[in-house]
Order: sequence, then C-alpha cells, then structure tokens
Amino acid sequence: MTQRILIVEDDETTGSYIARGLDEAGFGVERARDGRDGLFMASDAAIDAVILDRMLPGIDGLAVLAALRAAGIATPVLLLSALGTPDDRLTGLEAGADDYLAKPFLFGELLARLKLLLRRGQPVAGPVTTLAFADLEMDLLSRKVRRGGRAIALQPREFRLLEYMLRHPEQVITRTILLEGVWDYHFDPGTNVIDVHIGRLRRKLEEGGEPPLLHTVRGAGYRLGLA
Amino acid sequence: MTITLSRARRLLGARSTRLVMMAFAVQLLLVGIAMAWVYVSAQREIDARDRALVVELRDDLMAAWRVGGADEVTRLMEARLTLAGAGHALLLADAEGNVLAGNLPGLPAGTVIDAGWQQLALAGPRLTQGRYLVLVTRLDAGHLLLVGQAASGGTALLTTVGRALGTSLGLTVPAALLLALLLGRLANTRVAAIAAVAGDVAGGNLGRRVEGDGSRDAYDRLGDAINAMLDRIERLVVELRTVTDGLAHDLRSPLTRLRTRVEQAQADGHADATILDAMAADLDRLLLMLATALQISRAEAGIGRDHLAPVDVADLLEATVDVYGPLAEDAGVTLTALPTPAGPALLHRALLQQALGNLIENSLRHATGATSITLAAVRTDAGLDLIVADDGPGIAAAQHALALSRFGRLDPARGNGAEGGSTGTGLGLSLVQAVARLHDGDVSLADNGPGLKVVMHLPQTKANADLSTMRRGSP
Repeated sequence: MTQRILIVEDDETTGSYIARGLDEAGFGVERARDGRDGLFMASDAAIDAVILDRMLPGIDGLAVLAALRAAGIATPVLLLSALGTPDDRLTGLEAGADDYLAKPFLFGELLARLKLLLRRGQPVAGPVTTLAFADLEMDLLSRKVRRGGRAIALQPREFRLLEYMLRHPEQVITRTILLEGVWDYHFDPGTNVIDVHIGRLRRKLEEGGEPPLLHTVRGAGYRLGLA
Repeated sequence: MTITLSRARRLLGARSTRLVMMAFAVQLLLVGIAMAWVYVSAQREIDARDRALVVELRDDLMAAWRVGGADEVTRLMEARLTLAGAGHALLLADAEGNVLAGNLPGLPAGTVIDAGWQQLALAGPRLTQGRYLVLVTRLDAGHLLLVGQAASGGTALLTTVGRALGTSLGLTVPAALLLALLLGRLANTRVAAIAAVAGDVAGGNLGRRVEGDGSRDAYDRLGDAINAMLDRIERLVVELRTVTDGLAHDLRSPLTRLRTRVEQAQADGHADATILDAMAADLDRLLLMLATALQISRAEAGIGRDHLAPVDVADLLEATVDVYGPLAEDAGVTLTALPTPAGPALLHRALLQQALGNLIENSLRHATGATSITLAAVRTDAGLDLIVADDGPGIAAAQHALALSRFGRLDPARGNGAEGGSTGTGLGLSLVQAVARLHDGDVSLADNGPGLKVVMHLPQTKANADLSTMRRGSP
C-alpha cells in the first residue's frame, strides 16, 4: 500500500521539489500551502507522515504542530526550517516534532529521515537479542560479531555504529543521522569524521575477502546492503 | 538678533538651564520667605513696643488725673511733650469737647471713645503729621483723654529693616544666580566632555575614552561606566570584524574553485561526476561556514541560554573522543579524555560538542608533529574548566594574547586545505569563544610544556552549584 505524505510548505519551489522526489520514491503526496490547510489535512488519518515547514503564512509551523499534538494526533512530523542552529532544533523537538531538518537540505537526507520516521512507527516484535544481515550476525548480549564463520573484533564505538546500521538494513543512513543516532551529536562536524568511522568498520567487515556490505550512497550517506 | 534670540531660546529650553533656573527660583523663594518673616516679626515687635508706650503714658496720665485733676494732667503732658519731642499725640478735653491740654487742636474727627486701638492720621501745629496709634479714654468727670504715639517711628525702623533686607537680597540674588550658573556651567562642561567622546565614537573613532579626574564623583563614575561600555563595544566590533574578514576571506576559496570548475565544465561542454562531487563538497563547505557564522552571532547574542541543561561532563568528553578518535588516529595522534570527577554541569551540550570538536580539529590541523591530544575537565573555584591540550609546537607565551584576539587567523594557509581533506571553516575558534561567552565564560591559552593548552572557563552558576551538591549528596 502506498504511504501518503503531506507536505505543508508555502514556498512553491521547495514544495514541488519535495513532491517530485517523493513521487519518484513511490509515495503518495498531498500538499498544503498554509498552516490552516495543513492542520486540516494533517488531521486525516490516511496521512502517514507530515513534512511541515516552520514558517508558514496564517498559522506558523510550530503552532500547527502544537495543535496537532493537542488534538492527540501522533502522525510523525518532520519539521523543515531555514533556522539550522541546535537551539531551533531543540525548540522544534520540544514542540512535538519527530525530526528536524534545516534548509537547505539534500533530498537524500530528507528521504532517509522520512523513511526512518515511517519505520519508527511500526511495532517491534519483542526484545531483540540478535541482529543479522546476510552472513553478518551480531549478538547484542555477548556483544560478539561474526561474518560467515569469522569472528570480528570491534571497538565499542564500531559495535554501536554497526548495530545502528543493522537495525536499519537497506536504508540510506546519512552522516547526520548517524551522528544523532549513535552519538547524540546534533551538528555536522563537516569533516570526514564519519567517513573515517565507516572506513574502519568496512575494512573489518571485509578483511576476509567477503563482498562489501557497507555502501556509500553518493550525495546522501551509507547503506547496509548486499549490492 | 535672530541668532541671539534663538540662542536664548535654546539656552532657556535646555534642561540644565531649566534646572539651574529652578534651583535659583527655589533659593529666591526661601530667601523671600525668610525676609518676610523678619519683616513681619520686626513690625509686630515695633507695634507691640509702641502700644506698650501708649498704655504706659495713659496710665501715668490717669494717675495724674486722679491725684491732681486737669492741672496735674496738663503739667505732665507738657513735661512729656517737651521730653519726647513730637512723637506723642496728647489731648485732654472736657465733656463739651473744649481742649484743656495737649498738642492737638481738637478732638480729631472720627474718634471713637473707649473703643480700643485706633490708627488715625493726625496733623497740627505742635505735631508731626503722620499716622498715630491712638487710645481714647473717658475720664470720670466726662473728660476725654487721648494718648497717641506716632507710628512713623516704627515705620522708619521698618523701612530700615526693609532696606537692610533689600540690600542683602540684592547681594544674595546675584550671588545665587552666579553660583547656579557656575554649577550649571560646570555640570555642562563635564557632560559636554562625555558627550564629545560619545560623538567621536559615533563618528568612528572607537579608541576614544572619557578622561576621569579621579574624584569618584557622579561624573567621574559616569565616565568610567561609559568607558567600560566602550571597551566592550570595541572588543565586540574587533571580534566581529575578525569574523567577518575571516568569513569573507574563507568564502573566496571555495567560491573561486566553484567558478573554476563551472568554467571547466562549460569548456568541456559537460560536467562529469568527479567535478560535480567536488562542486557539491565546496557547496557543503560554504553552507557549513554560513551555519557556523550564524551560530557564532547567535551565541554572541546569548541565544540558546534557555537550552542549558544538566550534562554529565565525563560523558561529554567520552563521546567527543568516541567521535573524533578515529580521525585523530588517522592523523597519527592519540585522542584521550582524562577521567574527571566533574559531575554534571549546566551546559549547552550541542554547542560544547561543537566547540570541543573545533578545538580538536584545530590541534589536528595546526599542531604539526603532535602525538597526543588530551581532553580534561576540572572543577575550579570559579566553575568548570574544559581543557583541550596537545603536545605540538604550541604558541609562544608572548603571543597568546595576540593569538586569542585573532583566534583562528594564525595560519595564513588555513582555508586552502580543502583539497587535502581538511574542511575547516576558519571560524571554529571564534565559535569556541562565542560558546564560552554564552556560558558567561571565556577562553584562555596556556603553555602545555610542550604544546598548546586551550582552556574554556565556564563559570559556576548557582544552578551549577546546586547540581554538584545534589550529586555529592546522592549515593
């Protein structure tokens, strides 16, 4: 079933850019151009997630968000804002946003975060003690990692990084998502900090000559997959 | 004429002039009240003396009447008139109004008998013309006795008192006016000096300061306060200029590279993936620079103070080492965090992560030959010190101040390293200072023997103190 995304954005260029991208990615797209319409349409239970601009004519984004949450509507909301500082992000999250993205953004980043949001809403079947992908296995209790028959020794930070990737297989994970998800870091160091982490993990995963599992997605981030 | 008029109007309109005038008016009023009081009491005193004189004389005359009748009264009257000159008005008349004795030609018109004090205008050949205080008494045989005293003597005294008062007023008024004007002029001069400095500063000469006279009076303190404000403004302006200059300088490199690549693509007729990737990297760098510049200005403005929250300092350092460790190792540098008992503190977590990251990257970039970078947190009397120390070549102690004032501008080649993997914005250390100031603190440099030690001093607020007490109190 097609997932339906509501885009509340008054800027036509940004709105169409997101809508076209989401359409190509296989989502159903609804659009609202101001806060009033946005609030009305977001109340529709058929909407799976809302991409909400923070600055809107009429009712502004934060007020729309507050009204939605006050009405008991828990639809995931990704807040878009031209204000990209940590404080704006905190304010947005405090207002009830599930994620926050500063403009300008790469569509890949938006898509990756949106997919994480949609998946977050799905129920988890009981406590997980092992994670696996292809021939890679991770035991969360003994903290051991094996690929095929080969044991891989990982440093704690490498273990956390791989755990995050294993929990989101076949998904594009951006640098900033990793920084937030693994280290609770809410700014982009702008260096190749994450590349170095991924590079080391990749070497350890592939040093037995196995096929690559950690792929770099151009212009977006990384993906755990077979090809 | 017009100039004089407008000048006068301006002078009158000036607040200080009005204040001086008001002080002068109050002074004048007080002097006037004092003088009026003196005048009234003098008058009352003289009046009372005149009346006492009249009563005494009448009593004497009545006693003479009782002893020797009209003859005795006549004798006494003549004696008194001779003695006192023309100051008295005396008259003894019989029941029919015939004058028996005295210096009055007859009973004055309008005389009321036994009606107490009267003021009468009298005149006669043996009498100085003027106003008299008069008592008219009927004697037992129907005779009338008039006893009066010239009020003119008292009036003369009052005139004298009035003249004396007038004279003193004549001296006081100009003196007070002069004093008021002098004080006003003095205040105006000193305020004008301060205003002149403010004007110079507004005109762009940020280095001007108010000269104090060391008197510690209100003007001196005002000057000091204004100087302190100007110091702060000058520092901020210099920092802002450093940041803006740095930003402009640093924006040039990626923009120039972008332009070169666009030209290259235009010449080639197409852009291959490598060029596009490089262009995207440059654009990312530009965006990051702008975000950092924005963050600096917001932190400098104190925006974000409401997001200070309890942060476990040891966790903060550990996480930083976790994130930057591999990057440091690749550069041949060991990044470690010293164990710290610092406990929780009220901090802006995201901004401190960023500040520590910037300091680490700064060391990696500039501390050539360094083998280790150490993070530490120390509780001091003043609060919390966060330390990033390396064992590189360091900065000579004499240059610490210079290094701080031009933080981030030490390496002339900085900002050209994007090709080599370094993507520093050149604003990193300005941000560190801004973050420290957001916490009401500052940044200092020290010698790490060898190497450079950068210390962020984050003052301990009341809330911080409560937090650490809580921590110590709980198991």
